[in-house]
Amino acid sequence: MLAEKALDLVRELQRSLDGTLPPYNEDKIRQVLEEMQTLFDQNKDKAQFAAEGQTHLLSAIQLRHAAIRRNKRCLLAYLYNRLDQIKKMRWEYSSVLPSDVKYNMCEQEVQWFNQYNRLLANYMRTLGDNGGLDLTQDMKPPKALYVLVRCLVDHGEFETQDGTTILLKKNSQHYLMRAECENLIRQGILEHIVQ
Amino acid sequence: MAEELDVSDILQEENTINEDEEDDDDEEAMTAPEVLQKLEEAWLNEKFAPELLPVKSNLVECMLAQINAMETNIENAKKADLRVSIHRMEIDRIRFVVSSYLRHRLAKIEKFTSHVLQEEEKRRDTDAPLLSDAELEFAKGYEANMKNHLASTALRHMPTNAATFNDKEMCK
Repeated sequence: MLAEKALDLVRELQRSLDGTLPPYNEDKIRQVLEEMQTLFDQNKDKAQFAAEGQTHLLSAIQLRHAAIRRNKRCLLAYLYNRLDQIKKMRWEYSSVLPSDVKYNMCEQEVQWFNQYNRLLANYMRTLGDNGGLDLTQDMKPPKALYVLVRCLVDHGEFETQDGTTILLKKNSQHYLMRAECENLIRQGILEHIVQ
Repeated sequence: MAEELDVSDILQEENTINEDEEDDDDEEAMTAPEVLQKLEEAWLNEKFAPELLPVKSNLVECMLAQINAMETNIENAKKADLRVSIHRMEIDRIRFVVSSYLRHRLAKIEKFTSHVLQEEEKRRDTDAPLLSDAELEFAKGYEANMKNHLASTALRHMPTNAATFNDKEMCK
């Protein structure tokens, strides 16, 4: 069936959009592009006959044209939604993505991601007077100034704002300022203990 | 919540944390609590409106300056003072409102980039621009980056009659 492969791509993405990024399906994208090219070539041949007066060819041409457009739309939707997913992860994991996500990205996506990072960093730097405002902080409304956290991994020493150094050892518990450890919690180094 | 915010007021009353007074919020004849209230209004509007609303950069800038001033005040204060932690908490809350406001705007800009840029073109010279300068720069960069990506991965390889990016065709 026409444009089925393109639809497959979209379906594949839809199935795995729960916080993961599926591998970039370069093979299938190439197949879709090839199908588009074939359809286009066929249309070019037939268009000449149609212009000479064989009007019964027109509907077939129209159908192929519609298939080309559908392929294009599915393909762009696939690419766009992947970027969307990558973008979401940028906000979640900060500018360094986990290696398994990186592995599933294609080269152009890595380039896009770097550019996006640059834009975002430039924007955040212009906010406020001294050095900008990190928008990836303060994702949830603050409830308390200090939170009780437990270390999940050996992280090493950590210097707090007032200059004291504490050792983040596995399974140790600390009472830290929320603003300071929010990033560490999101990276999975600390765990917020809710009583 | 709003009363706690006006640092200079509290400081004058109690007269212990710091003697300096700040006057930077007087520029627009608005006190800090008023600015915060306006900002919260803008934040809620932005949060629940489906489209991008005109930017309130003066409120954001004013509030960020206010946060900075409060932070300097706190640094000079005694550590064990109860009010220090209350002010810290208040700073955290304000910072959340500001960041959340800007985040919502960014998300909308990313979602409707070309439309936002077109609208902005129309009202760039009026007194209620849609985007701040930094946001405009971000939007332009974002659009170029996205088009560039789509072109290099797919559009370039498509047959000639499909190889351009057509805004109208792509809007759902």
